[in-house]
Amino acid sequence: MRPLSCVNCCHNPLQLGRAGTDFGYCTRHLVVLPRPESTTCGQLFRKDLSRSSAVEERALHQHHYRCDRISQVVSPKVDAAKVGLVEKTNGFFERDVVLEEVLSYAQYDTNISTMAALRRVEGARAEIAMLSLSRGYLANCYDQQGPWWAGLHLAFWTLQRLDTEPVFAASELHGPMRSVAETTAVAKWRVLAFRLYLLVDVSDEARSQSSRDPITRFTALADEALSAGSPTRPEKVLAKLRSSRTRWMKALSKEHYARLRNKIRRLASPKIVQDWQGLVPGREKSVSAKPELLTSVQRGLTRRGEK
Amino acid sequence: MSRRFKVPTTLYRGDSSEAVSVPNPHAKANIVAHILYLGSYGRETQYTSTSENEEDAEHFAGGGGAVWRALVAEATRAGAIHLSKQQLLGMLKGFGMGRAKWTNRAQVQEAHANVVEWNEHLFDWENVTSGIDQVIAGVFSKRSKLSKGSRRKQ
Repeated sequence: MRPLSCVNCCHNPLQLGRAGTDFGYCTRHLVVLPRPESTTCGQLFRKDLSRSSAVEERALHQHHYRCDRISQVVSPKVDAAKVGLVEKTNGFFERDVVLEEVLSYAQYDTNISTMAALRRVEGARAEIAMLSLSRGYLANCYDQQGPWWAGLHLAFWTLQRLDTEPVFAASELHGPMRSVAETTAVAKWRVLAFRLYLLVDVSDEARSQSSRDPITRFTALADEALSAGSPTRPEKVLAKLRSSRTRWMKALSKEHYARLRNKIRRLASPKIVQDWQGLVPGREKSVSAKPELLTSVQRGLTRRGEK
Repeated sequence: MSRRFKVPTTLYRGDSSEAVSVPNPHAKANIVAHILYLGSYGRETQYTSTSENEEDAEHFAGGGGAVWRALVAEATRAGAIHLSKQQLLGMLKGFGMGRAKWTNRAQVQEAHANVVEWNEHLFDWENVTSGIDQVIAGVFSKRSKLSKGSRRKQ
């Protein structure tokens, strides 16, 4: 039942398949998961599915598992906290950059600035955390009918390194391995797929909001790329991404990104602009907001899915 | 020259300590849907997932579970169709083939990745038209899960 567990949930950004830490952390319930393959909850947002399928699966999942607590995956009625499967954070691992940013996101609502910080950290584990948090963040935005361009920065950043090979440190792969080469290949493939799922999430949402933006081409491009090579041959997927780079960049070029960013700045609230302006060097002036345009944008960019 | 893969004689499954989950031979589930566990908890399937690697089964057994083992020959005599890891990898390409034919290529690839990572084999019980509970109980025998400490000492 591992696909149903916290290991496979975007709200646990510390793992992806065999990559990452042995323990997990839930950014919804704010707890450490010593055995994330044994736990789950109704807020499961699966890493191995694009958003449309993940939302369908989450709806089915909620028939069996509560959203307000973590349960044992094999026994939905068992509270995971009562059987020692969750722990409170106690300030351990303070020197781990990735974990620090994840805790900051969960506890201090740092949102986009956390993703921006993780983007600057080298290594696959930081990228996995960034992509995981990004997909969870976008899922929350879109669930609340937020605009598709809530994922604009995240999509653009992911696009910049779409065809770079994921790099794993020796300590970043765990679990029993019959073949290190095969495990590493699959881990690389999973990161590439994870990048593509984020782009597909934004693309599908743009299409569902009847946008004619070229970003809607991402879905077809992603499907083409993932079909180019099997999980044991990630180099073929990379080769396909590199050969189709021009088509990807046409869908969201730097110029188009800048135009969209300016448009968003005119529409968005001061708080949101302030959050984003911190990421754009030299743009410290605040922009006056138009209250009548703000409601849907603010709703869409609220961090948590409180209902 | 094609590479010959040795078919394992014993397969392992991590499951609860009481019993192996009983499949539904009439389910007609798709292989991709089974491997990805689509449909959430309690979804119907005629397949039983196993691994050729005992350590993988231990991982799935978790803290409170157990490792069960089955002899491939015994399972096939009892009516199971054995789908080996190599057969599954052959089916899980493109849009999938046969019982793995699926509408979403990315999900076929995800299933492929899972089979590789966990050295997965499947038993298909669709031919067992009655008494599936007794058949499963007869085919799978429990072996004690080694503690992490004793595993490391070895």
